[in-house]
Amino acid sequence: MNCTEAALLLCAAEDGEPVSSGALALAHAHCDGCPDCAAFRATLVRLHTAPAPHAPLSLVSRIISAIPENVVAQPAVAMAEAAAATVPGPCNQLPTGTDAPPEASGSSGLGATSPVIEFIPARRRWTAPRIAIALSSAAVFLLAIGITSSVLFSGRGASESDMLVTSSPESSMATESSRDDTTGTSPSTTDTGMADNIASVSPDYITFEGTVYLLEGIETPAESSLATAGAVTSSLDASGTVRIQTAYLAGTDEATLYVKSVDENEYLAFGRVSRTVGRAEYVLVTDAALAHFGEWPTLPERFGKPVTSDGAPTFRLFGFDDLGVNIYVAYGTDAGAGVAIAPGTPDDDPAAANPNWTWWEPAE
Amino acid sequence: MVIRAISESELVAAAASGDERAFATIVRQHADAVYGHALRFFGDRQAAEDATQEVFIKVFRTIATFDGRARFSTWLYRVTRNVCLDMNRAGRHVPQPVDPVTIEPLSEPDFANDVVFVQTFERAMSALPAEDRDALNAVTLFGLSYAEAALALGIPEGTVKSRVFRARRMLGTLLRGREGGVAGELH
Repeated sequence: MNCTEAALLLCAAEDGEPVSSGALALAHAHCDGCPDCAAFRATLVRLHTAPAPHAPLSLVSRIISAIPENVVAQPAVAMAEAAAATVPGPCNQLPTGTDAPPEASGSSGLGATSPVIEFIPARRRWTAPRIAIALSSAAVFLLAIGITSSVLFSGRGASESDMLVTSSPESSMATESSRDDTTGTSPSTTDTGMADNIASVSPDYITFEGTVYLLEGIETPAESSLATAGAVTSSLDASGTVRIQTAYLAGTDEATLYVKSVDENEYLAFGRVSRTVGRAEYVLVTDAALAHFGEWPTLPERFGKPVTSDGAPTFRLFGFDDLGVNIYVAYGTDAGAGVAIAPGTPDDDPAAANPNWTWWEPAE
Repeated sequence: MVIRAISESELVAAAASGDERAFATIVRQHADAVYGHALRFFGDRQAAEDATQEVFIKVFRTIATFDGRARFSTWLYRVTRNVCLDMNRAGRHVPQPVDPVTIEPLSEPDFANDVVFVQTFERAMSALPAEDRDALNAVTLFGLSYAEAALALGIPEGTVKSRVFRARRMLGTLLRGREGGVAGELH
């Protein structure tokens, strides 16, 4: 037996691999007569007895205390996210990390502070999406009534032309506009593999001083209660002429913004789009002008577009709430400066269906 | 009180079904291995902590996809290794290179001293070629067999065996200033 054979056998035995007792005895016999191999054997023994690195107790405690019961209690969510995760299961995982997301350029600028995992309780305001759903339902209901009336009064079923009449040019253009926006402004959607839950039509958004508001309906507030808040630049439809409109607030409540309709006969009420993060209200912010309904809010330009599904190189994962929506923060900051939300959030999330990353800042 | 030993598969199944205590047990059982791999990969404690957190976040969120065809440790090792590689690619953390020539060989007393030995040993681990270190970590930290390590790394079992051997031989050289602690080449 030569030195290499002896050393390989000793290694295999050290690692619990099956080694015949006869071969191992021969290896030991070789080491007894060979100073080099005897030293190698001594090194093996020393390596075996050396303590392995220990994870800091504070780290372990932090991870354990952050285990969210609901994250693992939703296997459907976990499965969906797993499909987009960079770490596939054991059967399809590539051995050398080639399944990783596209390489990010530049340094992250990560500071010395450790990112603390925070599983944030979800106490969001769901007002905006619920109203949108209600309006959509009402529209479907009215459409159904129209079709039924057509059947009843004309004695024939609704033809294709009838159906086309009920579809306004505005809504068609809104759909087209959103498609363009989806494909033109959100390559990250396909990059990140989170194309699910991306709608082709956005809700009716406007922006006021960088904050995004969503059309909630027509209201008739007492004009004496309204105070001029500033101006909104929007066509108030999907394709019309963009105009500067006066925006009003009722008292000091900045959560609802009133804008006169195009014919100036009524007020359109817009609710501030917000979510609750760590018991604080965060509002959706963008610096892109949403001049028409059907345009999606995007990240403020100061943020580079994330390249990977985990937000790199712009953001890092900060935590997630109990519905499993990931909360990201910019490198070098914490959630106090604002949080980012990736595309692909659940249907009842305020960012639902948006194909872009979005940025949310604490409401003042 | 009846105490029943729970198998790894039972533990993983419980965690996948939402049992927080099972998850906590998994974290306690495997945190050292995950942290150890990340520490040796990056050579930096802060980066190792970040990676460890990220590994367990991924485990939380994807454990439902673990089908049990491989041992959980094998799966976890792959998650850990990929997280470190991904963090490096994304530029979030970069391994701190250790030049082998900067590692002072240990004297006999230091070789027997746990504190001094471990400090030098961990530096020596970071100085190993990545492929050799990965194989050694899979076997020594995660307790994988050569066959399991081969599966996880996507290389033949014989290659794992030779990489593990090569890693140990180089460690011996770095720690004692000569191969295996005694001058000379294996012959």
